This record gives sequence, C-alpha cells and structure tokens, in this order.
Amino acid sequence: MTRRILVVDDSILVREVARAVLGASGWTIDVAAGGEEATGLAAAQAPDAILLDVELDGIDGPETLRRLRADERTRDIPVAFLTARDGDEDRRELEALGAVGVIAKPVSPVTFASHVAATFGWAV
Amino acid sequence: MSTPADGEADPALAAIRAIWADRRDEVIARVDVIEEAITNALMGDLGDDLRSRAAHEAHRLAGSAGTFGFETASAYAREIELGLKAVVMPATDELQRLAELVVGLRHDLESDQESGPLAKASPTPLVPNGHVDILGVAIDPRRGRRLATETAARGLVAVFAVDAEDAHQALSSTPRAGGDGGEVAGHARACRGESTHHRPRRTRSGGQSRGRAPGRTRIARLPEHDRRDR
Repeated sequence: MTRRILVVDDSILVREVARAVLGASGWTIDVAAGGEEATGLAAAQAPDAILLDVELDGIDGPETLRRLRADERTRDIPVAFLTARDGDEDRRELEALGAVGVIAKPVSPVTFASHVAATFGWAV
Repeated sequence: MSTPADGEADPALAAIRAIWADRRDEVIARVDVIEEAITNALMGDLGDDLRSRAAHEAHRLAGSAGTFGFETASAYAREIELGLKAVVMPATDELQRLAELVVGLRHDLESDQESGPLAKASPTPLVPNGHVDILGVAIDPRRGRRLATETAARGLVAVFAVDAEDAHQALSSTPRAGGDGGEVAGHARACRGESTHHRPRRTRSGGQSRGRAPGRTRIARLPEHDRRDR
C-alpha cells in the first residue's frame, strides 16, 4: 500500500534526505519547512502520517500539532515528532500532546524507514 | 535493511551521497557562524544575536550532520548548542572546550573526501600541540577566524595581522608569557585602538579544561572591517 507522509523540518537537508530515503521505501513524501505550511498541506492532501520537527522557525512543532488537532480535517492524522530531545521526560511530554511517537534526531538514513514504519505501526 | 558498506548498491544511500555532495559547502559554512561566536565569546565580546544564531546553527548541524552519518560532528554540534544556550555565559575554560568542539566539528565534516560521509567510522581525536606561538600575516579573515578558534582550543598563543606592519605592532605589544585571555585581548584591542570595556570572564578557580592551564590562550583578533567580510 502506498503511504503518503508529510515531513516537516526547517532543515532542507533533512527534508531532502527524508524524501530520498523514505521515498525509496515506496512512500510518497511531501515536505514542509514550517508549521504554517504544514497545516495547509495536511488539510489539502490528507497524508497518512506526519513527521514533525519540534524546533521550527515560526510556530514550533508542538503548536503545529495543536493546530492540526484543532482542525477536523487533520485531527486524526497520526503525528510523530522528530527531535533531538528524546529523553524519557521529553518523550512523555511530546506524546502527551497527542503524538503517536518520537523519532530521535539525528535520523540515520539506514534505519529511518524502519523507525517510521515501527512508529506508525506499518509493515515494512 | 542495507548498511553503509553496501551503500553503493542502495539507491537511497546513493541519493544521500548526492545530496551531501550538493550541500556539503553549505553545511560546512554553518560552522563559520559558530566559530565566530566562540571566538567572540573568548574575547568577551559575544552579542545576544550572534549567540542565538550560532546556537541555532549548531542545532541544525546536530540534526543534519547526523543524518549524513557524521555522528561525531553531530554530537559535538549538540554540545555546542547546549553551551551556547546556557543561561549564563560559559566561563573561559568552558569556552575553550566549546572551541575544541568547533575544531572537531569542522574536522569531522571536512574529512569526508576519501570514503564518503556514510562510510565514516571512528572520530579523529584532537591532538594537543603544546606550547606554540602562531603569527598569521596577511591572512584571509575567514582563515583567521578558524585559526583563532583552533588555537584557542589548543591553548596556543596566536597573533593575526593584516600586514607586516600590523604584525610587528601586535608582536611588540602582545605579552608572551603570563596574563589571561582578557589581558591579552586588551593588548590586542589597544593595538588597534578598540574599546577595552568588554573583557572575557576570568577562568573559574580550579576549573581546567582537558589538562591545559587556564588562561594560556591569547588571541589577537582581526580588525572589525575584516571580521565582517564574510
């Protein structure tokens, strides 16, 4: 099954790597550089999942998630955070916001796709 | 799942290498901002704006460098980010530690040419060089900043000058023994007619960084018009 993932990160490098690596797994990858763009794309394209950086220029990841949850078009899209803040307490805080999981940055190209699949409960 | 060793046969890893080749210079250029911030901090002259920008660049480098397989650079960038985001400006010995990390960060990123970023293995350790004086004359401002950071990281004495006359003046005015970074910075500023009201913090009592005597680092900085030439 072809999945559609929206990757939200202010680093073009991370966006490009995500597109290359996750795209090679057969998934369709959309990218956004910030929270405003992400909420618009999510509403328009209804991705199967969103990978959301925590520290973003403009509105940050947690605020972006709050806006996604407040919009009936996007409230049910599973969201996982991408963050270097991956300690137990950080994870609990982020998951308490409604994220399904946290993927630690830096992501490894070798294991990125399997982490994404595991986080969203998809078969690889 | 593939491994770095068989990356050439993996289209995703081939794509990663292509992205790195395309973005390498851009990534490494981010280190410049961090270098400038640490150098200024060692001179007691780091403003909030540059500090914030450098912390942001360190944050981004921590993520992007790791994504390309530069695990050491990523870890260094992360530590630098935390240091720059500290509520209280790090003390001199802590800044020297950050300067070491900047050197290591750049070194790790620039040592990718032989085997490619995803094939990198162990980090290359920094080797302390001991007591060496460095004189840079007619030096490119960017190289000067880099050298300033490297010399600070290694506890060396460095004087940078834009021409021979400036070098002579700096050498004749810069003490060669004793005194901490602040005192030498004051000399350097005095040589160039700059303000001396910004001074680096004194090294904390008993706080040494990797076995070096605190306060040995001395940097004569580049003139302002060159330091802005980026």
